[in-house]
Amino acid sequence: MVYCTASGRPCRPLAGRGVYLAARCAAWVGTGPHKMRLPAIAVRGSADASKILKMRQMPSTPTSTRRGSSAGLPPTPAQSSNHSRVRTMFAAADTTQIELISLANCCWSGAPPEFRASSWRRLCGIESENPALLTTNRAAYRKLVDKLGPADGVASDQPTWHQIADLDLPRNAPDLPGMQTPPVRALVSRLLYIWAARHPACGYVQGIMDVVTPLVAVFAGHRGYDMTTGKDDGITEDQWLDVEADCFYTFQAILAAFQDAYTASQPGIHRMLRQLGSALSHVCPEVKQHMDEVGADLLHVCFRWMNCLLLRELPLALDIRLLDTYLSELAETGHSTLGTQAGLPLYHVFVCAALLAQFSAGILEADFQQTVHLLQHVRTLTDSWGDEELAEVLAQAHLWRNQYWSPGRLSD
Amino acid sequence: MAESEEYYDYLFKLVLIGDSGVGKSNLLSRFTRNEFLYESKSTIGVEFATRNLKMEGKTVKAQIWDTAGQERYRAITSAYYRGAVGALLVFDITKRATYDNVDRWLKELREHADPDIAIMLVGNKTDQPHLRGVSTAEAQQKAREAKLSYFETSALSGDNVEASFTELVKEIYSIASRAQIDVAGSSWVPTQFRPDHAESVPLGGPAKPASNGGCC
Repeated sequence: MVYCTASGRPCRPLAGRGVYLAARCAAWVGTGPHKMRLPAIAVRGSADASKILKMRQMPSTPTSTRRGSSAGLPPTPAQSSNHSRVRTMFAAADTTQIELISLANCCWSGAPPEFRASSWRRLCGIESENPALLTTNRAAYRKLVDKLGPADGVASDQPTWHQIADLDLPRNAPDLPGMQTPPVRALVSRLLYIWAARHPACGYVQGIMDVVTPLVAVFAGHRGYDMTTGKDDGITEDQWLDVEADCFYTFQAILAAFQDAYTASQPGIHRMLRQLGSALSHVCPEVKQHMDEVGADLLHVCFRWMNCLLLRELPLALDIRLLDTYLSELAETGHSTLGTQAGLPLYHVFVCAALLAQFSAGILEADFQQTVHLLQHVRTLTDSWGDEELAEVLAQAHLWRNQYWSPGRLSD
Repeated sequence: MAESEEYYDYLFKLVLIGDSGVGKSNLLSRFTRNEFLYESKSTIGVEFATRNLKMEGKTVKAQIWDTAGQERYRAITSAYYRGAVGALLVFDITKRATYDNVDRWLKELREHADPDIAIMLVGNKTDQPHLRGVSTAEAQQKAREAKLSYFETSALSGDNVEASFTELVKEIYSIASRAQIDVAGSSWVPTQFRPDHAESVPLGGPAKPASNGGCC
């Protein structure tokens, strides 16, 4: 059992994660079991968040290696051991079954790039040691395309198709040429259209397109597709359909957990925002109080964080890294659509809280306008983040969730 | 934020509304930063920007809230109308459907916004005259019937963008000065952003710089 040295509480005995957390806990001198202090991240006396960030640069990794595709990010020491565990699992997959929970435990702190596509499919339950499962799923998706997809470019639900293909697709991921090539545009629009048709209570909601981007990056990237140039290395039409099927099922698994965030009036988002307010008043009361005082409503500053699952607030490489953890969370807490109260959405709330905590010094110095500006442009700061920074946020969120959440404790 | 930006006499909250894809975000970026992005991502929730304008020697800070156009977000965007003193209702002159929806947006404003809100109808994308689907005369007629002012703009070329925002701010300023009401006080803004915490500061009265110092 791994114990948190600050709170004296046992950390979850997950390989890598527990060790990492214990190390982090030791670094943060706690002031009591319910008042764990934040790591000293910020320069007081400055509202300039970029200065805060400079303080947080890890000296061991040069900034230039922090950008680009996920494959370009060097693994952290904690990740390396998990990466080799995953590699061992897949190497022995012919003879030894990969336990889903062990895979989730390892991938929680980042999947090794070469096994990421397969790991994600397993975490979503569309691939197993029996190769027939994946084949069946991909065939089932082709049937969906025939049944629900636009036939010869003509969709039966024109308003939805117009919103997806004409209005939103051309302005999707403008910084990534790989999202604007003909095969990927066709993939994204059809996938979303089919998902909307199968989920009439949600339909197509702006912002869910952002979820598709990291999925394309991983599943098409696994076939040699280059997101930064859009070069496809001779991927056949049939292979593109396989990629689309993998993206679709992964997308479906993620959104199933957040379904009520996209239904009429978006009750799930309002619940998560209430939970975030409540979580903040436990973990960062001064930030909560300051935001209340200047009138920076979480509805103004964090709506998009909930609606786009933070994916717009991070560069692509970290979106992918975030989904490693989220898909592992899904596999651990179950794929039930009823899990919305305590599963992945709750963890997401704590990730948002941990992210706010990262910018606490900036927020505490800011007035209303500066707070809104800071939190609506977090991407300008996270663009230079590497794995370490995100890993810290994710570990902090995990710790806080375990510490502060019990049924009924956070207002729903 | 430039220091001079922090000083103002009055704060007007404006909202940008209208169907998805009509160019609201680009109108805002053109007006506040003189920028246009061919591919700006869809707005989720609300985003905002500010710009200071001079009116009769006073500094008016226009705090403009850019909202998401998609139907699904209606429930939350209406929450952003609170305290707004002006609205730019934007449609795309090349897309008839976005013009047909103007009535729905007006209904939305009547239901959720302050009854005295100043509304301006804006037909955007005049840089595409060959694709025009709504004539100027027709839009002017609708605006007259609904007692709105009407402007045609191009966020791409910048045509009339400055004029439309300025006109709306001028309109609000003149209504406010005629009525001798405290505009900043009635606007929904955080307390310390209101000049002198604005209980009942008459227009033209002493103004207080923003909470963190202002220009002096």
